[in-house]
Amino acid sequence: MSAEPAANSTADRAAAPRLRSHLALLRAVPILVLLVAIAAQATLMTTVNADRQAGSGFAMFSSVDFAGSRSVVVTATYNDDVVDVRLPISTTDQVDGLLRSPTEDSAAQLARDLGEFEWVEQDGRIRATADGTNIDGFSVTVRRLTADGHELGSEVLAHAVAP
Amino acid sequence: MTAAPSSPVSPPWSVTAAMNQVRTPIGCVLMITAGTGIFMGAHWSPLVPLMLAFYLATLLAPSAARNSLIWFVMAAAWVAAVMIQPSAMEDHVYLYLAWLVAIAVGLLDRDNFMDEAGRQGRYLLAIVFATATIWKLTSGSFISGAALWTSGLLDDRMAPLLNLAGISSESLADARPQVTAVVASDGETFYISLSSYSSIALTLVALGTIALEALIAVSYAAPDTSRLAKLRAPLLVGFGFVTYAIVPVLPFALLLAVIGCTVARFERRTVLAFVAMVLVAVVRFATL
Repeated sequence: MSAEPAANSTADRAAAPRLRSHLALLRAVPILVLLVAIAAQATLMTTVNADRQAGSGFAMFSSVDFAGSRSVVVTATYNDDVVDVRLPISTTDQVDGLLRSPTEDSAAQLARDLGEFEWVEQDGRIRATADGTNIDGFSVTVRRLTADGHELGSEVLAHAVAP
Repeated sequence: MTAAPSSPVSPPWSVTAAMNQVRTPIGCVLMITAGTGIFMGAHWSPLVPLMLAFYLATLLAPSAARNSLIWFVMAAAWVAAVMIQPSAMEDHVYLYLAWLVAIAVGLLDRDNFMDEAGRQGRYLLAIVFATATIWKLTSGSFISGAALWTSGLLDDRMAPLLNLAGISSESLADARPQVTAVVASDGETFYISLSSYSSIALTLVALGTIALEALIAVSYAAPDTSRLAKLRAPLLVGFGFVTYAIVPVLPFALLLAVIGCTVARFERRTVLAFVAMVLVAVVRFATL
């Protein structure tokens, strides 16, 4: 490394002591920024099951539960049978949001939105189509992996049924 | 283009003058940090041209880039990004944001910039690695190796690590639909069946990761005069080697390298070690 070029001006040097006293307060700002970001994500992770591998939690690979290991299970009643639902591509962002931060409200919203589509049965499931029939009673469940030692199971994080 | 020796007045800008400033420790910190922002922009593409322009400014107008206000503005741009697109951001973006603020604060007193930025870098790294350690210790599924196994199941980049632990890619492929069924229904379970070697290896990897991250946190939190302080760069470089040789998160590798170099005041051997660490991430990324 070469030596530092051109020192600050005389005026700068005269102002330095005054600046340094202000710096004492400002020095805490970067640490506070990081701590607030971590605290916010930690709160979301523990209260609304926010994804551990997103945001500012620094919790990568720490658990079997993260957005990629969760699932959104959607069923509906079609011709008196409970059938699985093949989700339309237009709901991808909603589903991603549910996986990252599942809440009863967002699950209920997806269940309501699915009622706006028309559906047709195919291979034991129903899929959205332009000329199908409207149906009600969509059930949306978000589940996560759990681990007891080396045994994996799952539990419900959010559940809603459209009226 | 340089000023003629006989010129009575120095030109306002010259390549030589600019390069002399860039080659100083401050110039390196600013240039590499701005350059890292280009890669961080992958999380939200509108920031890429902004960070590219900022990077060029640190190269071509290094004096102007030493203005604290510019760095506060850049930090504000990243605050806006995490507010607008929170779901696209990962943890290293938040560390980058805090580091931008640390540089802005450091530049308020340029005479002592390296001391201040080094101190800030120490605290930021200590906090980040302490937090990572706490999550792993408290998650309940990390120490058993279940978290690493599940990550490997769903993230192909982890395959080399699991292969080293004696877990074949074929066994993971076989387990994938069964685990998918477990998380899609009530009452289903799946037992991660491992050989004794794999079970011990995964536990050792988990414990080793916790020990390494905890030691990094402690070494950076320790005073500069402490013996532990001597372990800072070797531990952080070691972490980078083993982590980014498996999951090459290039922006994070660059960010840890520039903060690590700043804490070490750009000591030559430390810089070379961090450069090697970043190269490992680059090679792994290029060969994925």
